[in-house]
Amino acid sequence: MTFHTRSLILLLLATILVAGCGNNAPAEHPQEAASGNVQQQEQELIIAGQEIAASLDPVQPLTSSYLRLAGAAEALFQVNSDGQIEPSLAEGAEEIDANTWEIKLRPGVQFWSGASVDAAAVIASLERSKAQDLQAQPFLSDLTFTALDELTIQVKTAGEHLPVPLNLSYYQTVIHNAEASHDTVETMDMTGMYRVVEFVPKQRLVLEINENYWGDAPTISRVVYEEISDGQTRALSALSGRTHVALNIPVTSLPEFTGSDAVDIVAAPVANSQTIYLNLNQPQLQDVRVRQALSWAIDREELVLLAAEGQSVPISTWLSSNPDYAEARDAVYDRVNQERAGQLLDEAGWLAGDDGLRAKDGKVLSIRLMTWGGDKALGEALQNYWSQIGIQAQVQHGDYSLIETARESGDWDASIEAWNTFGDTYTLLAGQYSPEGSANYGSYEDEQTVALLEEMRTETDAEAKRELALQVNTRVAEQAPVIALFPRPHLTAVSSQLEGFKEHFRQFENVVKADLSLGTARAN
Amino acid sequence: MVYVLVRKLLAAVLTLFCATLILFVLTRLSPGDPVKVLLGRSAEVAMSDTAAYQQKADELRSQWGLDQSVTDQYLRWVTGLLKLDLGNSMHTGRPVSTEIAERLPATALLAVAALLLQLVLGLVFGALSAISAGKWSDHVIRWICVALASIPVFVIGLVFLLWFAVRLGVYEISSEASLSRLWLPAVTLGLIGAPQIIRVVRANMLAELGQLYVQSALARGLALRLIIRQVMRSTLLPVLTMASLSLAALISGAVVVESIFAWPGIGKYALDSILLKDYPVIQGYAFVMVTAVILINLLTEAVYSILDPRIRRKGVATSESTA
Repeated sequence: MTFHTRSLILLLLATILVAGCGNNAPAEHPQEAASGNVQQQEQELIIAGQEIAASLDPVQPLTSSYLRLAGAAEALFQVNSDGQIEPSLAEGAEEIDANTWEIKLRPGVQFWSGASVDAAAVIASLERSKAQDLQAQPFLSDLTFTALDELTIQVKTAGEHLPVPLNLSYYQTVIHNAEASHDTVETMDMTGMYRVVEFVPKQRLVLEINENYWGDAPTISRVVYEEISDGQTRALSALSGRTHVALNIPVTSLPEFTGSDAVDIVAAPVANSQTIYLNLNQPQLQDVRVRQALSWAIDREELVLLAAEGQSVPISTWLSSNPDYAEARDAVYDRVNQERAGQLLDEAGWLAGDDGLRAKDGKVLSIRLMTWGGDKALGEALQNYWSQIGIQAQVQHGDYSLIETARESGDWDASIEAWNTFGDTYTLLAGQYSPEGSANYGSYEDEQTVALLEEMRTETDAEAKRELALQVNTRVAEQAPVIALFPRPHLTAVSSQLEGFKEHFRQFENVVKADLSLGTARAN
Repeated sequence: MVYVLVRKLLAAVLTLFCATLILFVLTRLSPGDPVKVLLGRSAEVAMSDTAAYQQKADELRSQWGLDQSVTDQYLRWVTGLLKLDLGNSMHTGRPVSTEIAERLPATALLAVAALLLQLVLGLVFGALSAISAGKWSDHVIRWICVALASIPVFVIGLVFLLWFAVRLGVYEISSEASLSRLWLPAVTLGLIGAPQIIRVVRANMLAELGQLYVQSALARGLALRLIIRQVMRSTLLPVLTMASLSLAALISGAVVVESIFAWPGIGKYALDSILLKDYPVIQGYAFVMVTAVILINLLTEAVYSILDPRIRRKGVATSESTA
């Protein structure tokens, strides 16, 4: 190979690189670029999320919430941003007696394929979800459906006064054509205002307007949902002006948005509670005074600043992250009280030694807190509070599977999780605090709590049921098998170009709406 | 020569077999239950009926053969491998081979671009550093090499994204693999990998420049350009070693870079699958990568023997003496 040939090859490579560099330079300024895109791309909405639907079949795990978010799927009912249940594919619902509801469907609604969304099709869809989707079972297992006529469904409930419209508003109950195979974009068949036209697993979901949609036609013609798994990159994608909605922005990225007029941060209060779960099988945590001391020692106001960049509110009881139960936020541990925490530990026999650590019978009071995901800073802040009252606290941060493995072996003291607190309060509380509850990780078993839950289960009066829920909530906070901290922040970066975006406490399934439109970006 | 080739291939097959065994055992020893990950990740409401959960979990375990003994699972997997069947992903239900085949081109494109950049930077700046050893340009190059080797790749990647995508608006952050999106992750990987090659080139060139034949050529007034060409030829073998190692690492997945740039390559795919405990994907990915590394090494050895007759002769001599 001669020198000239080699030079030619090098020149060619350099040209390719330079061409790559300059190929997609949209404009001198991101906002100008974004503004230009509106004209060129005929209103294409770009959403970036941490994950994308795992499949196209709504009964498969990690699928239906993404389809609903993107405007492809609908349930019979939906929850508005005030927490009220509204009709969606259903026209309305009426409670006939304690065990019977009647649901009226909208006339003229069709699946994407043109097949009619009648009572038989809706029942087939719900039965398919019940049979194949484990996550749908809490909402559907106690319901029996019968078609009374083409547009009327009778729902018989196993218990009295079950909240049927609420149950049928969850994304796990989205209506789909049960006769379709849902394995490709050509065969899947749903009802949403947008239909899926392209699906690249773990990469991209592209949707275009469903011309047969029953409701108002959307103004944006195309929606692209992209998986950008790195949180910092999602934030930068929003700041670059390309992405109109970036979901799950990490709190650590918030300073990057300071002073940006082109992007707004939406931090709607989320109905879930960031909670420390304690293992009550561990000897040091069997004493309720120790558990209470752990809760009293925490400065929740400061914790919200340290671990959530101030994007949340302190709560001391589990249910109080639900807006309907906000009154119970400081029902038990109304402020930080390390003195009280110290007294409780003294009473429990854990006395401070010369080194400041508390011990009993020669054994140091220690606790190992397991954290995962973005909760490392939270864990370290909690370690600090507990160290201040003489507890030898350790933080073990890692993958969630480590927590699961530790729970199976019983070798754990405490771990952090956030569970949803919106929905049927009995189901929610029983799942957490009844001895059989799947989220009762620490084996909490309290006679008074069980009795209150049983009362709740059979109570038919809504107000009385609510009062019982508050009592369970308070009792659990007093017994402290778990320690509630604050609702986990759910931050969304929204381009100022996007008009009509609505905050929602269940933002993860409420992004694409018919009235969204793309305008001109504000000057930065 | 044929004997050497057969011996190498047998060694490769043995390595591959050992790798499948180690891979399988390590996957099964890692903490976490794939069934629970799948059932638990999307949980909306905790259930009071854990029996239904357990029943569903058992169904899935049976469906994926996880209820069988580890030996049976391994044999089933290896039998599938012999039929070129890597199994199906637990999460998407799609064939692993299809999913890998969809992502491999993106990774290969990024790997080749990054490697070319590493080689260009490595050869140019390595040679420059050696020729000007002890001078300010040598110090600057060495200082930059240390700096690049010290900064974590995610920091460089995010800073680049901040500048080129946000401040200058010349780079698009999306989830697509396209030529227009290639340059920034390629530059990042190129910069991260170049210092190693620069060091190797510099060290070998310095050693070669100190050789008697070079001094003699210089004393006789031979053109510096010709001498450097000769010296560069001698440093080619260690550079080839570095390049093959780098290529193997890049092909097996520049996980961090692919994740930061949302580049839909094999590294990001593997990372996602590890987090989801998707056993068939993890095993399939690792198997394909081990195969790729073995092939790259075989290819490197073949190129070695072409470039350096001593190695070729040694191989033949060894085979002759063994025979």
